[in-house]
This record gives sequence, structure tokens and C-alpha cells, in this order.
Amino acid sequence: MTRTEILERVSQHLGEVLDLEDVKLTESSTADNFEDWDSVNHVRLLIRIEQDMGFQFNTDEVGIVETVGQLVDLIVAKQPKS
Amino acid sequence: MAQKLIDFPWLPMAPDDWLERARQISPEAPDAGADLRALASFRLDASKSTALRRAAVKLRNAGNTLAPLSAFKLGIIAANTFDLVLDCLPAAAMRHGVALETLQASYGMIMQPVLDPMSPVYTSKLDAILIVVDHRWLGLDTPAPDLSEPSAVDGALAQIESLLATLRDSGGPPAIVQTLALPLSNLFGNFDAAIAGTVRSQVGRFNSEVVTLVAKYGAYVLDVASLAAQVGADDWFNPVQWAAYKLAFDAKAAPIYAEWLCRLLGAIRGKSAKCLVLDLDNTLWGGVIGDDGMKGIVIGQGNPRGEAHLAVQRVAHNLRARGIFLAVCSKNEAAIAIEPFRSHPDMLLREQDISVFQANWIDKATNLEAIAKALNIGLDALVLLDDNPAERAQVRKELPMVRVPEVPDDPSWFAWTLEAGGWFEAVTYSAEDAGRAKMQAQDVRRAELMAGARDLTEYLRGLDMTISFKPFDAQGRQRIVQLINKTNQFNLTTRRYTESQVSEMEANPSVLTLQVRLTDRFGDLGMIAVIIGRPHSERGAVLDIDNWLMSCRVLGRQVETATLSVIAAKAKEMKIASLVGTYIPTDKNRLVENHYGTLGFVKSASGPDGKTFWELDLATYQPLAFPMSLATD
Repeated sequence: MTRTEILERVSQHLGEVLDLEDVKLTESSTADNFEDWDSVNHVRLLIRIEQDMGFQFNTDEVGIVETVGQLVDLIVAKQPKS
Repeated sequence: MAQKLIDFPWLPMAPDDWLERARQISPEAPDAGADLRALASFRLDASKSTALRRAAVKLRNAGNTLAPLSAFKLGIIAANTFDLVLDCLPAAAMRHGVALETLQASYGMIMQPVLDPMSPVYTSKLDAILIVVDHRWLGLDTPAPDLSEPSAVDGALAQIESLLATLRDSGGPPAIVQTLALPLSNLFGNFDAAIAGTVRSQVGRFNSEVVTLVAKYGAYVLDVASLAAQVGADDWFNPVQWAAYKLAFDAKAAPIYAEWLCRLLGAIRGKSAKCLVLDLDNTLWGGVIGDDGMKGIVIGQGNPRGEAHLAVQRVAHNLRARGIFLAVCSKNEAAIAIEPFRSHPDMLLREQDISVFQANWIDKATNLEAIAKALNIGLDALVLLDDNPAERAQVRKELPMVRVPEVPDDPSWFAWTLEAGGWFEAVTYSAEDAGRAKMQAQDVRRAELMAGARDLTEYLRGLDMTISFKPFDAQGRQRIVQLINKTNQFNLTTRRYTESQVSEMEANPSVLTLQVRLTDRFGDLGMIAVIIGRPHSERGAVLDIDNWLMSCRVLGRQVETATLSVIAAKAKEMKIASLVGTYIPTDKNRLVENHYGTLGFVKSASGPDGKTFWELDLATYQPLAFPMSLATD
């Protein structure tokens, strides 16, 4: 998956979690941009990404995500090397 | 494929229009709850569970009560992150007949909301309160300081008891208390069970004693220990999700946890099923009783398939012993279908175990209605176990409130499915319950069918059937011979032929032969019918239908109508003016005594031995429409 595709998928998951239509995240988006993006919804989002993409974040990785761009970095690193 | 609880294999996959149907439930619908329940009875992912949860909120806000679902308000006090379960709960509750509202009384606090008389636990009119604590919160996650002393368990039980006593004494709702999942713990290894203060021993003793404690206070047990054991501790516990998200168990187990809890809520609301309805052929035994006979069906020890079906009977037998009705619903000749229950030495289920016995050729939905009526229970109290996917689809479509588990092809999973589905959940048990099914079954009953079987055309069209016809050939010969010699029920003349006779027919251009194959959206049913027509021995331009036989698996699908249209077309090519059919009665083929009459033939003569002769004038014959497409090759 390209970064753009990952951004789209993450946007879609966040939209479902927050019950918002047409969420369009950018690399610089943060949780502060969304009223309901609290710690519980953050867990929901990460779990959905894990289940959708078939990997699990490591204990250390969960805490370091500050921007969506960093989240995309993590997901890119989890992609199987081709 | 191996079946696993967390995959919900007993629920059918959601159809493509699932989301559309979820969106279209009208707030004005008087039975919106029934629609929600039907939609919740498919396999749901997180998006679908969420969609149903939001649909219910919308309907409620518009003033819909979600009838016929029963309202239930559940308070939750949880030591850890519980939101992922909350997400799944409303949909799981719908599946079990409950319109659930949840109220999380606090995050991370257990004692405070129970001790505070002004907390929502007491002020929000809860129907029950779920206490979610695990071995960690109870201090049973490490061995006792003095390994030979089980004092930590006593402390944990005392904590639970103090919660239960406070709730009772302050007029709180009944509690739901969890047993504890046993984490991987190996202090001594195999010796852990022998030492009172190890985690394994502590959790074991807590689980066995908390059940008694809970009963004393009129509370309910949510047996997380058995659920986690069934799921498997390696899949249940996830140390990363615990460290990172404070999830007491893996997120992927949230839906099955919600299911387990909602089975309990459904049982509290009296929504559990009361009757297990069993198909016969290839469900209760291997093979087809009408064709294979008493000696041919497979049941009992000494044969893997026979043991698989025996296991199904054993589960059914156990359920009946605790008061669940058993009924039979099978496309069969009643007198033949009852025979194994009476005299097959290896059957576990006997005639007196069956409260209502429906063996006939009418569609199953109509029979299920009759069974529910005869037992005076709702259709939503029926569970139908049937190996045939097309029958399951018909019942689900006509009667979405009947619970119809998916089963894989391998019958060894049938018994597992009955145990896994959780339809017969109970919160009480008495000697009276045990006697109920027996009282009812003193005489086996046949329920009366409602007049006028339902119109199945739309259902049949939905099966996406394709039928194909070919003359006999070498590739099909073995199966043709097998059908000719094995089929007893849908068999007009029961004339048997050897392989060499069949091979001669292939080569004889004056004989009209047809092998008929059928596929539907569930798969390829293979060759399902065989036709042999010969020039009439005395009359010219007349085709004598020497035999017409069909597998009972495809009964009621109007295969006969399609077949006749092809016979007529081929006969016309052969310059035939009329068809003659013969019915020769046996003790197994009464099913087809009026086969030709139904298709528009006129009875021309009857023989002394019950034989009947029928004729169809091809000049006036108008082919009828049939709900399948005709393959041309």
C-alpha cells in the first residue's frame, strides 16, 4: 500500500469510529483536530487498523503516535517487504 | 475447516444488501425490533455491529420501542477498558431478543459506585449490574505470600461478597459476576495444581466458590472462565493490548464476550429457544432412509460418520433430558422416516423422545409453523438443525425469527455447532423443567399443516438454479446406474437396470435418455434425475416413459416442470404425438403417485395392482414456466 492508500484507509476507519462522513486526514492531522478523538477512540482506531491490516502494534509504538503522519510511518514499517 | 467460537461459524454470512436493509428500517415500523434481530443474526464485523448500535439509537430517538425486543438496562462497572465490548453489545443483545441500553457507571472504580447510594447504580433503574473484574483486580495474579495458604482467595471472595451484600441491602439491581479466565502461570509447572497458593489453584478455587456465593445473593454468573478456556488462553490474553490499552482480554474476543453476556440477558428475559427441530437424512443419520433403507443408513459406533451423527443425537438427547423439546422436520415418507426411531438398534433417539414428528413433502417453513403451534411456543423458540443449505435458506427467508445454524459439510461439526450456538441458555433449572419435554411427548404428534402451502417462487428464483440435460453417455454412466438402482422414493416405476443395459440404451437412437444436472448458488448438486423413454410397444408416434426418477434433495424446486418441457421438446423432434407415463406403486414411492397428474397428464387406465397409466397430448401441451435457467451446451 502506498502512503496515500494508507491515509485513505485510516481516514475511513476514523470516520467509522467517530461516526463522521468524509473524513480526509493529512499527514499533519492530529487528534486535536477532532473533538471526539479521545483516548478510547484512539484505541478503537488502532485496533481496527490492526484487525483490518493483519498486524499488531508493539507496546512501544502505541505511545509515540502524535500525528497521522507518524501513524502512517508505523503502518508502512509493518508492510511485508516486497 | 476447523470451527472456532470467535468466528461465530453458526451464523450465516451477511448478504450484500445488509447495510441497505439496516438503513431502511423505518422508525414507524411497529416491529422494527424484529428487523434488527434478523440483521443481528448474521456474522457481524465491527462496522456492522456499530451500524446496528447506531440504528437502534436513531429508532429510539424517533420514539420506536424496538418491539418485539425486550428492553433491558444494564449497568456496568469495569476495572479496565470495556469500550470495545460496549460497541458489540447492542447488536449481540438484538440477536438474543433484547433491546439493550448500557450505562457505564464509572471507569476503573468498582467499590465507589456501589457504596454511594446516589450513584447511577441506584438511581438509573437498572435491570442488572455487570461487575467486570479479573484476576488482576482481585489480587490473584501473583502467588499468595505463603504458598501453602489460600488466604488471597478468601480475600477476593470477601470483596465480591461485600459488593453483593451492599447491592442487596441498598435495594440495588441484581449483579452479574464473572468467573476468572486462567492466565498462563507456571510457578512449579505440573505441580502448580497441588499447591494452594499458586495462581492456578487460586483462580480454580475462586471460580468454584464464587458460583455458590452468587447463587446465595440471587445474582447471575457470567462464566468467563469457560468462555476463555474454549477460546483458548493464548488467544484470550494479549499482553501487548493489556500493556498498551488496558484491555483485560484480546480485542478480537470482544464480540464473543458480548455474545456470551447477551445469551445470559436473553435467558433472563425468557428469550431462549425451547425446541430443537431436527432434519433426518444426513443430519440425524448418514444417508437417505427412503433410498438407502434401514440397512443402508449410517448411525452408531464403529463408523466415523455414524459416530458423528450419533454425537448429534447425544446432544439432542441431553437437551431433552433437561426439558428442551425435540421435533423432527424432514422431507420424507412418515411411515419410513419413523422406522429407525422404532427399530434401528444403533439409534439413541427413540420415538418417545420426539414431541412433534413432521415427515412429509411440504416445505419446511410451513412445517415449522405447525410445530410451534402444536407445542404452543413462538417461532423464535425454534432452532432448526439441517444439513441442507437450500432448506436453511428457505426457512431463513420465510421465517427469519427461527434460528437456523450454519453447519459445515462435515457432520462431525454438527454436535459442536449445537453446543456452540448457545440457543438454550438458562438461568434456572428445576425438576419440573426436566419433566416438561417428557410430558409433552407421551404420544408423538403430527401437527396439522396450515392449508395452502406458501408461494415459493421468489425463493426458488433466489436460488439461482441452472439445470442441464444430456443424453446418457459414458461419463455419466456410473452415476446413472447408481441412481436407477438406489432411488426408491421419487421413482415412478422402480425398474432397475444394469450397467450393460444402460450402455445399450446410450447406443440406441430410438430410446430417449436424459441425465439431468442442477447447480444452485450453494454449489453443484450433480446429477439429480434420470429419464428413459421408449417407443410405445403397440402404438406409433407415442413415447412410453419407461422410468422417471429424481433425487429427493431437489424436491419442491420444480425440476419436474423443467424436465417435462425438455422431454416434450425432444419427443417432438422425434415426431412423437403423445407421451405415456406409468406409475407402479411400491411401499416407498407414494410420493409420486400423482406425479403425472400434477404435470397435466390425463389418467387413461388403472391396473389391478394399483398401477396407473397417464397420457399427455403434445399437440395441446403448453410448457409451464420454471424458476431456473436452462443450460445449453
